[in-house]
Amino acid sequence: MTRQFIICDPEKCVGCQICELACSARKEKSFNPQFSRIHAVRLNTLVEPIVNVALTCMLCEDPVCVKVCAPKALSIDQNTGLVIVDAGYSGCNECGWCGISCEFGAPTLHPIKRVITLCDLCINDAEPACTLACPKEALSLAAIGDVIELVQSEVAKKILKDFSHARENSISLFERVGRIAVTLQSHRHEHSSSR
Amino acid sequence: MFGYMGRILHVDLSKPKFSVQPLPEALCKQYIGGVGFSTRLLFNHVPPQTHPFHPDNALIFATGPFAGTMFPTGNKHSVTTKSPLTGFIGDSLSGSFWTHEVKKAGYDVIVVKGKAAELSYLFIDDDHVTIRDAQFLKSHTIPETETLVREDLEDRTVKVASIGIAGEKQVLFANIANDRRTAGRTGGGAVMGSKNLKAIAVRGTKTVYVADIEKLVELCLDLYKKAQGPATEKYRILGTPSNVLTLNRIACLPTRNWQQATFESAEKVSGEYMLEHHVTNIVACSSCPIACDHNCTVKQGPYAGATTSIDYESLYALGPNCGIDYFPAIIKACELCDQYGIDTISTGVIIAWVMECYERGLITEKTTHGVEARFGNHDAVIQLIHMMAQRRGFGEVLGLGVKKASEKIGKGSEHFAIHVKGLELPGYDIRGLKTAALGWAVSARGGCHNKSGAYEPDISGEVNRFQAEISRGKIVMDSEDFVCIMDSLAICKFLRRCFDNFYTELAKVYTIITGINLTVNELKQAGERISNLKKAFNIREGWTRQDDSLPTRVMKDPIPDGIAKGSVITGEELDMMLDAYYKARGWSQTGLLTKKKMLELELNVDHKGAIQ
Repeated sequence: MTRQFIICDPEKCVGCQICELACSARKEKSFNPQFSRIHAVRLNTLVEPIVNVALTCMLCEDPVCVKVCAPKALSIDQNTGLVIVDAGYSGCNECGWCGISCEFGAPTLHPIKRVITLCDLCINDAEPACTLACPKEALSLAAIGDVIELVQSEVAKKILKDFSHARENSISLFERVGRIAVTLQSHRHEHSSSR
Repeated sequence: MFGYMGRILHVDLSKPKFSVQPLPEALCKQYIGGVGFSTRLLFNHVPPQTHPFHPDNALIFATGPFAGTMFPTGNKHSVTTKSPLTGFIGDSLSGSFWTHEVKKAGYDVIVVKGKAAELSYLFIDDDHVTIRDAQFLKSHTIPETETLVREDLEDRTVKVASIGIAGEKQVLFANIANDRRTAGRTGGGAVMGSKNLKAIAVRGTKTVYVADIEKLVELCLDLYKKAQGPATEKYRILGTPSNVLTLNRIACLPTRNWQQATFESAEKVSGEYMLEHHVTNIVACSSCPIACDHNCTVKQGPYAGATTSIDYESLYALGPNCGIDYFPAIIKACELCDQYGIDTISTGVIIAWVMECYERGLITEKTTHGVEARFGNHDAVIQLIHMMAQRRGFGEVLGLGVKKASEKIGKGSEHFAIHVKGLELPGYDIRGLKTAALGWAVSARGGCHNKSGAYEPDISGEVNRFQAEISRGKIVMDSEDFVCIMDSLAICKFLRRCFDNFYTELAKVYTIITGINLTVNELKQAGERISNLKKAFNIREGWTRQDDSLPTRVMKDPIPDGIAKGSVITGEELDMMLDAYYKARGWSQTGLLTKKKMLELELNVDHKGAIQ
């Protein structure tokens, strides 16, 4: 089975927090962003453009959260690939190591149930609550292959944009090629630094 | 309770003392929330004739029943106080994350009274409320204050509403801002400054419950879709600056302090120009599917690095109204206003008035402390903003607003001081929009486009905008009541076209969220009740029919250009429309509330505005 997860396109995300509220409504029948399995993050640095993105469990194949869990409360479901939380007496002890070690900050502590919660892709419903609600279609359920394809097409679009810009401004062929190289390089850098 | 948190937080800064009052259920149905709640509480908690800067004046922050839920744009709050700018009710709305946090902390309303001994800030941490020293925040801008408070509390997620230097200095049109959003008008920031309150930081962990969550989710998903359609296209694509070219075409774009109604360089300050050259990204408020906040940046030139959100009203006031066609300067001016915490509309109208005074020789460079205040001189705009926000030199007078400043300077400058009840006017030339003119004249908070949408029938062609008619009284009344409901629920006005039948749909949503049965007629009547109570407050504070007037220029100088050329509002026209409006409202000919109306609305005040 192809591994899927919820992915957010920061170019489309406007930081409205609706995903958090929709998740809380679906999972807990009430509204509290702290109940949400997806987390809207806004970086407002005053100098750079504002960055909006939503982060949740990426369903890693070899997840760090499972490894660091001392009471062995986290495990991978072999059928779905989801990380399962054992909320029983000998299970999750609220230590938070999973949340700290996760690169995406996905596992969060439920303030009332006092256990770690993680995205389960709303596996028993027709569609995840967050992708259904996202007004800007920034969220989608994707497989890793789709994401790579998306990244590639974005790079292609960037090159095309630079190319036509260069043509409009009658920049020499030499410069054009140079620009494309720079774009590719910076993109590769972005990509590797986000890993 | 569903929807509501059921609690009002009372803060007395003088003692200091905090208390929680249960939210009376009768208040919910009669006054809904937001502006409705805060108007009622202002009326009950502020003694008559209180000076706006007296500790007895209250500063009231009120959320609505939809805040904290996934209802689109439900995260809005009203800021209500007795306005130092107008002396009447001052109410203004802001929204986004701070609103949501107040709700999560477990409160519907925060009522702040008294005065702290030293500059302080309030920290509301769920049930734990403290007053903390804010000397370290003194003279800091609003964005700096937000960051410093978070550092002080060692929590990046704390939400902060604060004032800038202008609020501390009690500039009469200072405002209160949170998360890039501002309760901009009528000088709430000055009242906050007078209370020595620099900021309100909030952290909440509580849950908002609704009566029927399945129905609400279904309904919200439908509204999110509608909010991506033509009903909100204007706000999503170009944002409100799309007004510039539209209003210029129909000669309603006030230019050079309302001396013209068209701007020859409108293209250079248009929404289209802005999107192409300055918009870096578009973001949303909390729980908003529309996303209208166009963040603009200046990339090069003398104002490189300036960055802020631009809306039409700011653009009109600091652009065409000051004769400015250099977009980077407008961004810089708005950024400064946002940092100092002053209302961009008031600021632009005051500067335009200064410029006309200067060009007519009523004031000289000696008066302005060396500023060459000519229309089109963007350097002068920037210098004057610094002076008025800090109340330095000539800025001391300007910080009083255009009404009081023109009374001080005199020499006939009152003729072109563009305000109603002391509140500077937004960017619609009402000489050619006669329904709007009536709306602006009667507005409880003064000249304003947000408290009645009376310009809509004029611009859409539903009525003849050049003609004054008796029928406009009812149109303005209905529009005011409609706005009162939006401000009380409290939801964003940009969502209004997403409904086929506003009252029916919203009454249904109200019941789905709160579990309280509310009929369409009850909702409509709540709107009327809130409008009437605002008026009752103003009557109590000394309102007379003369206060429902328009700037002299609007009534004496016809529009000189464009397709609206020659249009003006005469005294007879205004009188006729005022009579019609008071009659539609069921008020006396002098505009006072009648006993019959008060009983019908269960207003619990007498005709002089005292509580019965």
